[in-house]
Amino acid sequence: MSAPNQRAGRGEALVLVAVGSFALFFQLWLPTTHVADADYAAAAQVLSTERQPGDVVLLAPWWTERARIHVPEGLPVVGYQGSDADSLERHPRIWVLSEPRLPRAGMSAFAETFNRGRTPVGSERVFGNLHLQLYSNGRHRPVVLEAADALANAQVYLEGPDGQRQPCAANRCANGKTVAREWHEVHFAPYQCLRMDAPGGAVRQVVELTAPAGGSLTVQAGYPWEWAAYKDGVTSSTFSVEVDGRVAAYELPAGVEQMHRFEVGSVNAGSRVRLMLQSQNPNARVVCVVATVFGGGAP
Amino acid sequence: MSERRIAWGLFLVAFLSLLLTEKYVGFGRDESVYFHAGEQHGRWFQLLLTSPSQALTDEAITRSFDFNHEHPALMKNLFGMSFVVFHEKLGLLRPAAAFRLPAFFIAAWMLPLIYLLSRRVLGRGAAVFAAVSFLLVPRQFFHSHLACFDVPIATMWVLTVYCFIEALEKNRWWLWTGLSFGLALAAKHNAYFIPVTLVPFVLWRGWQVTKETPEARRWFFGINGVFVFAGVLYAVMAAAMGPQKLLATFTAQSPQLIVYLLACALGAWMTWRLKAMNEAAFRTVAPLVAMASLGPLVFYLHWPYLWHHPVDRTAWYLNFHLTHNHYAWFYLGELLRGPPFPLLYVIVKTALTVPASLFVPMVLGFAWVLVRAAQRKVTMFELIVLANALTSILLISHPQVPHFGGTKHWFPSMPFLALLAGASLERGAKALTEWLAPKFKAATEPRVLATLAVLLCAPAFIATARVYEYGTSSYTELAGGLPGAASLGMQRQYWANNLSGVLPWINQNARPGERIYFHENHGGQIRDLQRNGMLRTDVSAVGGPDSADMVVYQYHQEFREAEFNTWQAFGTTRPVYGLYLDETPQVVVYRRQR
Repeated sequence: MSAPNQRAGRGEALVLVAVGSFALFFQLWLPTTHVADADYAAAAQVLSTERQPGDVVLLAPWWTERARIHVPEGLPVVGYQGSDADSLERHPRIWVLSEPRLPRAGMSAFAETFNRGRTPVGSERVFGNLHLQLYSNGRHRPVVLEAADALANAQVYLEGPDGQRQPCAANRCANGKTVAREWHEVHFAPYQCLRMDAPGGAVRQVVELTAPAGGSLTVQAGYPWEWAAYKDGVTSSTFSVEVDGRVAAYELPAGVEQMHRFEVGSVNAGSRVRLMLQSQNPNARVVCVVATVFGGGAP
Repeated sequence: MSERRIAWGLFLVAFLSLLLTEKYVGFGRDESVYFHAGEQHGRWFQLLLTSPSQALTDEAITRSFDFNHEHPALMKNLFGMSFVVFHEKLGLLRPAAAFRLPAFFIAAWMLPLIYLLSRRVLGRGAAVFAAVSFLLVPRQFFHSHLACFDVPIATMWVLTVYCFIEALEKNRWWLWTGLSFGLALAAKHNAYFIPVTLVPFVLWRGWQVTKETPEARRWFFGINGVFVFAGVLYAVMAAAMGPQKLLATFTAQSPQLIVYLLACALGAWMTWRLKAMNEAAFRTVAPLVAMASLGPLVFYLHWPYLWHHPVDRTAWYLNFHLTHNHYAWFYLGELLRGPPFPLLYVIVKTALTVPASLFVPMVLGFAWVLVRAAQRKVTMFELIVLANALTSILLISHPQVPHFGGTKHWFPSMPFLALLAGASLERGAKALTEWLAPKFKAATEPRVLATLAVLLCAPAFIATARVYEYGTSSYTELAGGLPGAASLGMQRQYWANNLSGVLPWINQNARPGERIYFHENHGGQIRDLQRNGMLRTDVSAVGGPDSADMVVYQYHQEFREAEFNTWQAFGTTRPVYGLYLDETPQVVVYRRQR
């Protein structure tokens, strides 16, 4: 190949030297961003001694889940794509466990998303490349009722279009469809939710609860895993919420991977809350439901 | 030192580097399938030696070759024969290494081929750089270990192009071009696109070299016309009879076969006549005629599965790839489940996985050929390199083409990009020398080139050395390494071979007979790990977390439900161990609480 003109050649040479130097620096620097087990152990020690009921650990970047091995048992760890924006409304305090030296850690973007309504408590603790900062969560809302946690006291039954009910003994319905408190993934995020399973046709699966105190009812519902992506051989579902006879119906469209969120409205102490799921075709119509009555007014 | 010695040296360095690092590379999902298929092929070759008449029956052939007949047999034949010879008969290698040996051999040939191709336009130093750089891409070094087809087809592709270029100048290389194309067809279906990159140059050169001989020009285009006419006849038959009937009646004495044989015979005869009229025109078209004639012949002969049912089984094979499934694939924070795929996917993925110190010279080399084309200074060789660098990338970039499998589907582009990177290095070194030589006496061009080559290779070598055994997870500087790619929302890994990273822990900590759910690993992988002494044989694989005492989860965004099912089954969200590459979770181990 013939020689280029001198200026272009010199430019090409400089680009090669620059990219070679950058790449070499990067490869030598990258291992220095790792976190030693001892640093995780030191952070875990702080969490062990200073944790309070209701605390949560939030990871930054969201995928640094090696921390799960070290965080003390029982202390929830949150880290999923998009968790920077999670309001973590059930938790009054948040421990942000971060690795800011990692490439593309994006800590400024994290702070922009996370900081709203959060106040640092004390100073940041640094363990090698691991940073630990406690925040009070201004977005916290006390929980009055969590449907999944209250399942033991709920009534579960199938209800036909004519209103006829068929109880589900031990939350197992006649058609084999169960209701349970389970972990599921909806659009890559974990939820410990009420697993409901549409019976098919016009029949609804119903979970009936009583609110122990007044508050504001919020419902999140979505299809777990890849069932949400199915378009063929499935139908959309109707998720309905009835509070003291007032019914609100929401559609969970087939083919949409999303945790849908509905602000249902206020609930009084002793209110009867019915969560109902129906889908014409029962195939792959399991729905993960997080129904929560928050005290302390609307968000 | 002679060119031949350098080429052999490159081969040996590549072969030994693959052989010596082999045992650390786990078995991918597909590789275990090919181990099994290869072993069956090996058994058939043993039968062929001991009882040929029995081996040649359709029943015996189907028994041995029906499994995994979605891929041709060349590599699996070699894997199987190598297994029988080097493991079973000689006991020299563990089973996996014996299966993989032919893959090392063919991958190692890539380096001399790149070197010899590069030497047409580059000095020795730059040509060596181009050759070595192929193995300094972590994903390419990883795939070069595997008893799979992605690196072999890339090698066969380069071999065919190399033979074609030689054939333009030398006698008999048309024959090697036809045979090497046949080997490419026998390696993987990517080969069908090789003629696409060569036909335009054949036509262009044929036009150029027959300017002075009108009769030769008529014959030259007549030869091309024969094959075009045959193609039109097939199209007419397909339209008249319907594709199904066309295939069903494609028998030994059918018009369909006669059309093909006549086209080959007439094309070959006309090509031979052309030789007497215009040698250059003959050398231009003869490789293409050889590819059209010998390619299908080699394809048929190498694959016993076709011997009794050539047409319907070939049709099934082609149809399988024309209607291939789409697998979920994570890209820039989005899960791609089906077409249309992002147009820039291939370019972005290449930029994020090829070391920057190699990728940038590739881009500069590519741009330089474009500049020369714009200046009308470009040579045919440069354009052939450019076309072959582009073809696989453009093909996979089509939004309707399946986009799984990382970068391996456009490996055939990478050797040509490596050559362009070598050209960039040579230009850069020359310019740097002109600048430095007046100031530093020691700054001779060979020294500057060597220094620059080391600077460009060193980061790629470090990246490769650090993660090659987990090659499907590798991301390089422009991505920000594996951590940067995780933040960008790129596919973390595929093929589940990263399991090898947690096996020592499992072997040390598993209770006797422990039931383990190996997420995303199929039974063949577990069988092969135990067979090769990488996993204790007393542990048993079970089908899900509910029946397991231990779960080994392969971190994929699209499979997170499997991890959360484990939380549910084990009553904990806390793993006990994991493979974390540069902090990114790859394989996570959970254990049931007792």
